[in-house]
Amino acid sequence: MKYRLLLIALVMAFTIQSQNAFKAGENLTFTASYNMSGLLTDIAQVTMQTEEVKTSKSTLLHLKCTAKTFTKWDNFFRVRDLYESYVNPNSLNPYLYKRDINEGSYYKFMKYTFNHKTNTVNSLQKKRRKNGTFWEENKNHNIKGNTKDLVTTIYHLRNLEIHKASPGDSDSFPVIFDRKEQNVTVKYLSKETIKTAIGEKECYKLAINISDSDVLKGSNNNLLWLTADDNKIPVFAKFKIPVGNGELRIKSATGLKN
Amino acid sequence: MRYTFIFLGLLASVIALALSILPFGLIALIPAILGLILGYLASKASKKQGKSKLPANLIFLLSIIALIITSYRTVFTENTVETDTEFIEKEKESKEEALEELEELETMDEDSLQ
Repeated sequence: MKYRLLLIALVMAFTIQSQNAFKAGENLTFTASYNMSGLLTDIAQVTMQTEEVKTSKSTLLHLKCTAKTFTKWDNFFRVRDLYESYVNPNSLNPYLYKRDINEGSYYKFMKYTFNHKTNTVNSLQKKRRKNGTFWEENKNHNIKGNTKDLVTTIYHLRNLEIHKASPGDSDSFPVIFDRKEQNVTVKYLSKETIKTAIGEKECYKLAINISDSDVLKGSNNNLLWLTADDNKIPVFAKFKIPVGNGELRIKSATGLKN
Repeated sequence: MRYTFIFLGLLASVIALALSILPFGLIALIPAILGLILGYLASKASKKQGKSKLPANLIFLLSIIALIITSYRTVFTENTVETDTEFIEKEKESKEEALEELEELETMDEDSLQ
């Protein structure tokens, strides 16, 4: 019994220590740029927000990411994307994930309901047909115990103890995206000091790769700079996707934990 | 050769002007600079052949207008996102629906329970 209590205390201590990079009420705003013939063009505003939500039984963390095209683009190609995840505030285990994509005439809705007791995910996909009607598809998937959704994984990266890693070290995480469980590999490349809209920041430069997926192209083409402080704010990202490449630059950061 | 320069120059400068009006940012600089180069070559060819420089001047004019519009928009136009009430409403509805669904879930970890 004594050992059991000690073990619980140790697990609790690790859990609390590991969830230290952000808190509810954080608001990060980014500018997304797309490479057009070698020239970067600002196309959208991306936000990442955290909020505490309560149900009758529990307190959860609501992680929300949005992407909205700038007004000047709205008449040509309007994007209104909403990514949400409701997670355990300590372990970041996701319970519910929603993805609502509205890009030009393309619409897609995806919902994952996680069951961590049975290690399964129930997915609901909704798409719009050309005639404007919708079709839905329900599926069940078996997942690994620590599989997360995309949004939660981004926040999970901020909780990694990168200060203990050496350049070249890498780690993998299972992620469910587009109803497939995939492995995201994060490799710590180096420390770099970069100029950002929130000041000059010393950052951890990470390379992100998704195995067996077309979402991100190349092995070292998708880079993420997290501030090398307790907040580990994602301040800059370079990405290469099937339809081109671009950048994500931080514009503002409020409600930081540290 | 003069006609080739004039044709390509006009094409480049018209594209530059169109792109400078559309929200494509600095991309209009590429055809605008190309227009200036072709305009110069058309002007030189016209002078050599003793023909009118009017088409070359038109290429210059269109390219310069495109350069001015692009530069102005790059420096003075701010990136803004419209207040989209429809999207705000969607976010609210999505959260309300999610909370209802989360109430029904009985698989929460014990440490998230109140």
